[in-house]
Amino acid sequence: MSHISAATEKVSHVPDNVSKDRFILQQLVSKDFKLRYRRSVLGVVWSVLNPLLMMIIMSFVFSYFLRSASVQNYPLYLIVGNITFSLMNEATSGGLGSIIGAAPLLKKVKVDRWVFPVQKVLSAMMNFGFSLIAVVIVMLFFRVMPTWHLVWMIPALLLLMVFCIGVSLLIGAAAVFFRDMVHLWSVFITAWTYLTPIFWDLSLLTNAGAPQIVIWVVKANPMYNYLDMMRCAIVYQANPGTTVILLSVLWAVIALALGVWVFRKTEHKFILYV
Amino acid sequence: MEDTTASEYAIEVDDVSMIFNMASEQLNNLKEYFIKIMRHELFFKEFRALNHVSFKIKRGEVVGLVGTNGSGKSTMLKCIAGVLEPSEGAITVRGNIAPLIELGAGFDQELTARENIYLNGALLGYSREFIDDHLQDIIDFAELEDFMDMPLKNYSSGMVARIAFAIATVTEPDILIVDETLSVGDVFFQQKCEARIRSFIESGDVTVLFVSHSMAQVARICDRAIWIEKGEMRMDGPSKEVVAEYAAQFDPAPSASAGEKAVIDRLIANTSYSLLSADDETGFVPEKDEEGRENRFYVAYTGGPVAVPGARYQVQKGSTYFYVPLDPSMYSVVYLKNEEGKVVREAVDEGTYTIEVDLTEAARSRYRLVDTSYSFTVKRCGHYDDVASAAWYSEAVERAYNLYYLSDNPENLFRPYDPLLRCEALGLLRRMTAGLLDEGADAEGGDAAAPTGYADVKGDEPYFDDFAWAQRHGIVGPGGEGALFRPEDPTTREEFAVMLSRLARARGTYVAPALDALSKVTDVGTISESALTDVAWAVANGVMGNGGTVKGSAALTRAEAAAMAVNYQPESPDGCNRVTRPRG
Repeated sequence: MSHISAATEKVSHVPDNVSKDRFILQQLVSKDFKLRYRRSVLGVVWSVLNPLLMMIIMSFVFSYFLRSASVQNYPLYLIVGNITFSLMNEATSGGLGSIIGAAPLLKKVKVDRWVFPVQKVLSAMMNFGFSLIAVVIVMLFFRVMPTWHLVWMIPALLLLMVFCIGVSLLIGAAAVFFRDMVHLWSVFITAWTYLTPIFWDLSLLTNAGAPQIVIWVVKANPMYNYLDMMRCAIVYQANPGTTVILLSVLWAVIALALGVWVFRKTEHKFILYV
Repeated sequence: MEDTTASEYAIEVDDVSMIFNMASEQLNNLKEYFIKIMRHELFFKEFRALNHVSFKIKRGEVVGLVGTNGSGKSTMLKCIAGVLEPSEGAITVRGNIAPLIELGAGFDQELTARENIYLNGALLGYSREFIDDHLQDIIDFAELEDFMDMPLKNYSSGMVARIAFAIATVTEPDILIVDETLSVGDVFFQQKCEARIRSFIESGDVTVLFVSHSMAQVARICDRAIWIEKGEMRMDGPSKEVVAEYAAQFDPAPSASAGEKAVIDRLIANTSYSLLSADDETGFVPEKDEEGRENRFYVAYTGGPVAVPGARYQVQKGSTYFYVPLDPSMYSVVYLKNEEGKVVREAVDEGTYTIEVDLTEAARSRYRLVDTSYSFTVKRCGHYDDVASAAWYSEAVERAYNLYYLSDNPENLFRPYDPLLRCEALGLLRRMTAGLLDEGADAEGGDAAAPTGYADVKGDEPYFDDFAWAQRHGIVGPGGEGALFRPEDPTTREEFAVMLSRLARARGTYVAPALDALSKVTDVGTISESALTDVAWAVANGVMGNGGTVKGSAALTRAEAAAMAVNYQPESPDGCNRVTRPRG
C-alpha cells in the first residue's frame, strides 16, 4: 500500500515532503487570513475589537448584574479566559470541517491530509495573536504592569496548540464519516463553556461548599488548566501550580496521541466519504 | 548525468486492487450507524474497481490508457497520481507528476490569480523560489497579464483553465498524465497547449500516460496501450493491436466473427428446417414454446452441430440443426422473412429467407446494429431429410436412391453415419444386381431350422432371403461347424470390398487387379492379408481408395457404402433410374 515518490533533483520542485507540506500550510494559512478580512471595512481591527467588546459587555453583565465580581481585575480575568477559550473553539471548530471543506482538493491532488486541520489551528493562533492587542489595551486601561511571568504564556500556548491539533485531527476525521458531528460539537462547546471557569471563578464552587468530586472534575477539565496557566502569566502574575502544569501536558499528549491515531487509521478512507 | 533513482521504470503498478465498500444504504449520521449496528444490519458490499492490475511503464514511454466508462481507468489514474491509495498492492512512481486531468486544484474564487498561482503551485509541489522565478512565464503563457490581481471569480472559465494549465505545465514534468478531453480555451490557445504537450512527448524524457476515448489519437500518439475493463487488465501491448481489439468489442453483429459467418453462409444454404413457433403478426419468437422448451436454431455442419451466435429458434426435423443463440439482453425480436419480406413460420419452401434481429431499447444506447440479418436459401436436398446437399455424400446417396440400390424407407431418413451392418450389405448387393441374378427358385424362407451353415443366422431372419441369395452366388461362404456370420456387426470397408469383388465374380465381370494396384494407397497396413487382392481390385476399379487411403479395417458407414456402390456401378444393370426411367 505504498506510494513512493523519489526525491527529485529538479529545481522546480520542493526537495521533500516536509518542505512541500510547510509551503502548503503557509499558503493555506495566508489564504484564510486574506479571505477573512478582505472585504470587511474594519479588517484586522476586528480581531482586536471583538474580544474587547465581548469583554466590556460581559464585565458589565457579570460585575453589575450578577455580582460575581469577587475576582480581582475581573475584566482582565475575563478577557484572557475568553480569548484563550475562543482560540480553542475556533481551532477545533475549524478543524472539524477542514477535511470536508478540502474535499475538492483531496480528490484532485496528492496532499498530506493532516495539513488541513493543522492549518485551521494555526490560523486560529494567528487570530489569537491579534486579540492579544486587546489584552494589552485592557492592561493599559487598568494599569496592570506585566511581569516576567508573561513567559508562562509560551508553554501555555504551545501546549494548547498541541491539544487543539489533537482534537482537530480527531473530530475532523470523525466529521467525514458522521456529518452530525458538526452539530454535536457546537452543543458540546456550549456545555464546555459553562463548565470552564471563564466568567466565574473556582471560588464560586469552593465557597458554595460544592462536593469535592465536582471541584475535581472542574480542575480536570483541560481548558481549566490552559486558562489557568494563561491567567497566571498575565493576571495573577504567579507561577502555575504543578498539577496545572502536569494536567496541561497530559491533556496535550493524550489529545495528540488519540487524534493522530484516529486520523492515521481513517485518512485513506476520506476520499470515499467526503 | 547519472540518475540516482536507478530503476528504468517511471511507474510500477504491482498487483493493485482497489476495493470500495459500498454500504447497502447511505449512512450519514451517527444515529443510523448505531441503529444498524444494533440491528446487525450493517452490511457492506465489496466493489472491486480495480482487480489485481499490474504493469510497468518505462521512463520516456508514451502509453495510452483506454477503457469504457466505468472501467476503472480513472481509478487507476487516481491511484497513480496518489490521490487514492490502493487497497491491495503497491504503486511506485519515480518523479514528479503533472496530472493534467484535474486542473486548478485549490483554486479559491476570492483570491487573485497571483495568489492562486502560489497556492496551486504549492499543492503541485513547486518551491516558492521556483514560482517566483517563473511567475512571469506562467502569466505570459496564460495571456492574462492585465488580470493578475483580480479575484478569480471575475474570470471566465476559459481564463481559469488557461491559468491552471499554465501552472501545471510551466516546467517539464517527469510524468505527464493527459486527458484528451482537456479543452482549454479557444482554438489558438488549444494549439499552444497541444504544442506544449507535444514538446514534452517528443523530448523523450517525459513519461506520458495518455487517457483517451479516441482510438485514432491513441494509435497515433502512443506506442503502447493498456486496456483496463471492469477493473481488470484486459490487454497491454502495441497501441495498434489494442486499439483494434478495443474497437472490435463494439461490433454488435450477433457477434459472429467473419470466419464463423462464412461457415453459417456455406452450411445453412440448402438446409431444410422449420420453426416451431412464431407469432406471425409481429414475428416475435417467444423464448420458450408452449411446453416450456427453449427455442433454438442449430447450424448444419457435417461434423455435428456447431454453436453460432444468432437468434433462437428450434430445430424441427432430422439431424440437421440450425443454432443461432443470442444474448437475450440485446435482442428481443427475431423475424423470419421470406423473399417477399413476409414474416413466415417455416422455411420449407424453396427460396431465399432472411432472419432479422432487432435490438432492445437497453442495447440501443450502447450498440449500433451493423448486420441485422442472415440470408440463406433453402433447396430441397433430395429424398432424404437427413442428407444435406452440402454433404460430400449427398450426390452419391441421391444417385443410389435413384438407381434403386437403397431399400425403401417410409421415414425418409438415410442415417448416413450409421455403420452398414453385414446383413444390410447383402441386401444392398442384391439390389445392385437388379434381380438379374435371381434365378427363379429362391430358397424357402421362414424356416428357422433351415440350415444356413452359420450358427447365428436363422431361417426366420428378415434378411434370410438376401443371405440365401448371397450364399448361392458365392458372396457368402457355405459356413461350417461353429461358423459365425456376425450379421449385426458393422461391415468393415475391406469386407465390403471382398463382397463386391465376389459379386463381380458372380456376374462374371471380375478382372484381377494389376500387381501395382495398391501402390497409390498409403495405408496398406490397414488391410488384412486375406483381403488384399480384393481391396486391390476395388482400388483398381475406383470403388475405394480414390483419396489415397483405404482405411481397410474401419467400419463402413452407410454413406460410404452408397458411395462405393455408385462408384462400382454408376448405372443400374437394368438401365432403370427413378428420375429418367422409373421401373414400371
